[in-house]
Amino acid sequence: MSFGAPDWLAARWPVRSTMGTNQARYMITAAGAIAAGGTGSLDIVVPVNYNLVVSALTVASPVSCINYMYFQIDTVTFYHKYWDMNGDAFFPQDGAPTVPGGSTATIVFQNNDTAVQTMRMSVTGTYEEI
Amino acid sequence: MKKSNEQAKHTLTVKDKKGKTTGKAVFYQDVKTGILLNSKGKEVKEVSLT
Repeated sequence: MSFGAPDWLAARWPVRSTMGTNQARYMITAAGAIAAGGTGSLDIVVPVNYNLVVSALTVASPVSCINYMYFQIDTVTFYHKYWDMNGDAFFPQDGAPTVPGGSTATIVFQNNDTAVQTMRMSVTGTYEEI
Repeated sequence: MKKSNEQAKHTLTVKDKKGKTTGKAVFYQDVKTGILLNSKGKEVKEVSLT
């Protein structure tokens, strides 16, 4: 399996080191008021000339409650997590999921509290030119 | 606004318990500078649907 070519049969995806040089690393942040039982999602469509190497995903809720998040590349879900107040997914330095140019990375988080909550999230990653 | 090949499109969507979309925001990130832009090309610090 070459870098950048997903193997759909086993739902495997290339991972790589985040330690490349001369790359731009960014964190972005978003916030949403999520109704009880509702979800917030962030879709990131990667430009065709770049890969997005995802280092970390974080989601926060101001109240204690077992919430749920997952991370998708195109239609395949690679990471699920139940969490309480802070949902963090840190990918190892040599095992970061790579979203190829033209693909979509999606982070979905669900508010399982009985009231509306303002939840915040951030995504940290690297755009590398192909 | 010009949609160049060096901008990542981000869409923040909020749905209610029944899966009905109640809010949506689209913005763009310049992959060279990391700057976030709204759909009108204005710089924003955070995308929010609060």
